[in-house]
Amino acid sequence: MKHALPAGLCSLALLMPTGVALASPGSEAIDSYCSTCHQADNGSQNWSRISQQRKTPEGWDMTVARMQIMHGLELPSEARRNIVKFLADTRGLAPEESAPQRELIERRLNRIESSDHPEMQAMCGRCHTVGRSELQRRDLDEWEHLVHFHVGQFQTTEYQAMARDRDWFGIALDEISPWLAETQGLESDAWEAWQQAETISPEGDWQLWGHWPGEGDFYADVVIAAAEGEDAYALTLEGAFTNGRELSGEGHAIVYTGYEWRASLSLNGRDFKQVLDLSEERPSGRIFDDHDEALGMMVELSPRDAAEPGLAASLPASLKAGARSRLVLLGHGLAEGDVDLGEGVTVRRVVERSDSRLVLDVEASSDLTPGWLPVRVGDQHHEQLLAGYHSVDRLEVSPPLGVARIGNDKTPPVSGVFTALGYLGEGENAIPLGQVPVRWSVAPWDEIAERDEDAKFAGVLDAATGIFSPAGAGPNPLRQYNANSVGNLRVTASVVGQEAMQDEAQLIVTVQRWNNPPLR
Amino acid sequence: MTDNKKSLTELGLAPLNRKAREMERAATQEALEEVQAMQTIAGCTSSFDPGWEVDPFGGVASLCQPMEADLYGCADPCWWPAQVPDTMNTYPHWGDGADRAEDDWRKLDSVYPGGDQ
Repeated sequence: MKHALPAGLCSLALLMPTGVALASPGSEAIDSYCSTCHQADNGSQNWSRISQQRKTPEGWDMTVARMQIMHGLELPSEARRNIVKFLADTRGLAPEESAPQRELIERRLNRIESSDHPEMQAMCGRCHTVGRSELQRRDLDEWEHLVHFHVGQFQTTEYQAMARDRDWFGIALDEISPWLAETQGLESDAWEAWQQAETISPEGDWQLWGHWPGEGDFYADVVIAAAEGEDAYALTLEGAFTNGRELSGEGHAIVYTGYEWRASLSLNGRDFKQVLDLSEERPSGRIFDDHDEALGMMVELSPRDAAEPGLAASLPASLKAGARSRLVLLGHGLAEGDVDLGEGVTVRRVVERSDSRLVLDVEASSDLTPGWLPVRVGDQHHEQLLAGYHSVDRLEVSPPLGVARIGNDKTPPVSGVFTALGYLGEGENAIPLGQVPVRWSVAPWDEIAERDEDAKFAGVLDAATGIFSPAGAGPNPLRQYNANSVGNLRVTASVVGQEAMQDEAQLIVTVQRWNNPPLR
Repeated sequence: MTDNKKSLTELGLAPLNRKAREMERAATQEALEEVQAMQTIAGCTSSFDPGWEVDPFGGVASLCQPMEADLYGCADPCWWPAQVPDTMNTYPHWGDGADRAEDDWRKLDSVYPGGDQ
């Protein structure tokens, strides 16, 4: 992680560019396991077909896996890890280059992709995400090699729908490859600059917050310490949900390419993966279950000794008139001074107070004025952090279209995870209320789904949490044709106490997939 | 899909199975092609012949069902290589020991991460 963090966190300032060629366990492993086929240019750590590409850590891991699966490469796990670390560090992507595809890296799949090139969907997005291609950098001949590889390995590339009805090969070589070489060439100013940037360690104390689906908003103090291994760290988390329930955990992480944080975490006894982009002053990313990647939480981190005092977040983002609730304010410089949430909100109790956190029991009066509530804590204030409302003017369920998958122990089921965000007012000036209390229900999407009784067979939606648990895999003898327990469903949220305020989404419950690399 | 703009009935073809009947239900050939050109959710195939996750109509009723009945018909010709391990080139032994997918589907394993990871 580089250049943007406060000076107090620069405990390991290294001026070594990440691309400098020094012998390392990774380069030695490439010499041992790869150079039989990938010709080495002695002394300069250049290997044919390797050094002409740049990728994310996941991209390099998928490449090594492909060598094992398709070419019979045998190598120990440690060598694979070392190779991926070395290649991601020396031939990775700059933060600006991975920024457009953070959703893919964070395994957020319930979205429709777009591309700047109108043919990319038919060329690449037909089988896998367009983003998988867009997280690579190659020169023209390497892009052409990739086209040839696909035709040789996966012949359907040319005779599936959206291939057989056009000159797929010609378009791939004559239009797409040059366009990719132009827009995603090997060399870039961003990568050049990132290699020269000062490296900073993430060691230190952080505050983390987010929303755990089905559990609620949470906050935690995170302590990151160096661990044995190159760019390896250990971390502990201690915090709570806003309902008071404790949250604790620990984990270990490796930082790739100077900013790509990849951790394995145990939170309240459950295993998760964590992906963070450390290149920003306030790093952000996602914690997710890598066996059920839909179950995840977006998180932000803020250094606890940040130089700039201020209010950073409010959990929850809104208070309902007439309700008494727990309110957590996060930031810096919060330890001293009066707490004032405006005329309509009374602080009943200060539960916890420190420089970085204020936990309050508050009561919103039944006649508060709807809109932004000015928040003041001592010298710190924020006019658009917390909102008050009587009723919700607009509800928005996301994702508007989601895919869940039936599963078993070999291919674990993928849940449907929905959230409902409330808004006050309409249009550009609408005030976001965050997640408001709703009840969830499920129904057939259309008459075909009703005829096939999809809502009965495909799984169960939790009315309180919006989490859909799909049914088991395999032919279902109770269905016509022994069909799988798939379904096309309508998921509806209605605001508690304001049932007419609703929004809905489509949920496709579909069959499993057996090929689940980290970049789909 | 071909470039033929005639409906199945106009071509003298009677729909025999559920998928064919759903195809015939499509209001016009243009509407069907429009649906086919649509994108789908990130990581799902958007090649709807007949589709792995989603069918040409954006639902699931016209998928091969149960998919196990035709699973090796997908794996052998490498039809959905990003979803179903292709036994043509990449995973020739994926279905070994699971001769009849409708009965043996529980034996079929995921293929990533490869190696001993």
